[in-house]
Amino acid sequence: MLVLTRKLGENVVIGDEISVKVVNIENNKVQLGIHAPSSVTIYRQELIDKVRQQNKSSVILHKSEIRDAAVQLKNILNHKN
Amino acid sequence: MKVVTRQFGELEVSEEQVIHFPKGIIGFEDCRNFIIVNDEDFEPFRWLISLDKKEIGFPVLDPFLVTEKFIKEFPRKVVQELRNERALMDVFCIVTLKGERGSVTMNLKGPILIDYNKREGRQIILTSEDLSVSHPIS
Repeated sequence: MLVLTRKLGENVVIGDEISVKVVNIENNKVQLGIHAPSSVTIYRQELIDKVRQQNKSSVILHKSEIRDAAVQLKNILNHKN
Repeated sequence: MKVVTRQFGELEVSEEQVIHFPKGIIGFEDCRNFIIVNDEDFEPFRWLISLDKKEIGFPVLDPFLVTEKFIKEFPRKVVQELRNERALMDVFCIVTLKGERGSVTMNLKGPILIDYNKREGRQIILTSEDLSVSHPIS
């Protein structure tokens, strides 16, 4: 990991198209302003971790595991109609 | 070609059915090739099954069966993709059976987008705080 020290208002340029600026520092929180092409996704780490964790708990080993859920869902959908 | 899956046993799969995920899905980045399998026994659930690792398979569901406000949270570019008339796209969400207290939930925060013309898929993350990785289905 590259660790750089920046002061308020200073910038870091990554590759040709991405830059990160320290916009505000307050109460132990750092506000970052990020310029990047729209093709580059930018997410808070915790968000990615949450989705990763959820994906991992969703792996099913056999299709029959879904039987009860399918029955429940069909009931719910029938009630709606 | 024949593939062996954990969930369904042996399946006959054609090249056209294989969907390529250039970045895999989150947590399973090395699973790049999937098929989507319908399941008459357990519809409306379908299955997203990895061809690279046969034990990896996920039940998936059309989110619009369970929630209407979902599409509002999509980034504009993605909505444009979905609305493109020449596109043949699909959106579904991964279902978790082992939710809290035995609940069945759906990941609205990380939907899967499929482009059938390009035969490509990806998982996107919706940042809205109104969307949950474990939205209850039942």
